[in-house]
Amino acid sequence: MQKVMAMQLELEGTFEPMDFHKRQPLADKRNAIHKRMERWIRLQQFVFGLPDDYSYAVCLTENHAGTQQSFGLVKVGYMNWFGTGAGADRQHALAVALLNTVEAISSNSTSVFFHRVGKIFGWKTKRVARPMAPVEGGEIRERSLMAG
Amino acid sequence: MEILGSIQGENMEIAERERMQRLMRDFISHLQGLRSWEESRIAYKVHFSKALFGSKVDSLVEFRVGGKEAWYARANGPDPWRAFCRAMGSLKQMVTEMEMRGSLNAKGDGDAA
Repeated sequence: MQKVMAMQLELEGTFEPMDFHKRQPLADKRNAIHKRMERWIRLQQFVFGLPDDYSYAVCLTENHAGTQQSFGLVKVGYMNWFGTGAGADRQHALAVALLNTVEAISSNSTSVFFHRVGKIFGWKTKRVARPMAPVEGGEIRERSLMAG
Repeated sequence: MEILGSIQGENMEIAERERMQRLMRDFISHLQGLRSWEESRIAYKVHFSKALFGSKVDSLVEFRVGGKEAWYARANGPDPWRAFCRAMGSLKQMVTEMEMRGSLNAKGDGDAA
């Protein structure tokens, strides 16, 4: 009987028919999580000029008291945590990979977005050339030097 | 424990279907050994789609454990197999990180992360 059910599942392409009668508190959050994660990733790609490759994974758990806990991992671009190359955006990619899901979906990047738009069109901020502060010896002077 | 699942593609051929099923079953069995779920049945879903004017394939991998625990992964890639591998890679890396932080066997009893 179970084999027949499994075959029907494969043929019909349905998902979890046995769980329809159960309570699914975590299922309600599914769409919201995906929507906000993808919006956040698109914004990171736009603001930092990262390639369009991305991946993320989320684990939601609920204990007996009903408290929910989430774990997450986000990767944007080709960079990952265990990579051996040192790219220009490695620091950023590392920070993104270590982000918590709660932080990722709750981060409000609207101000970053409008700041970027304002910079492109020159509406708000005009950059003023200032003399550079003296740099200590041995420090990395510019971001481009971090490219390795 | 019984592991059922479906692999779906929107208007695309999926070549490595059996390999994906085997990887999903192995991953869920491995996770069941680590977290010791009491569920007898776990269903998973792997879904592939493509944006209208996009060149990349989006993959979505998800499974739930009795309404108490849910795992989701999403990635993109030039073809379904690579998109699937990226999503699975993220899932495995997250399990590794949870193992390193010692929160894998906590079963969500601690405070919210």
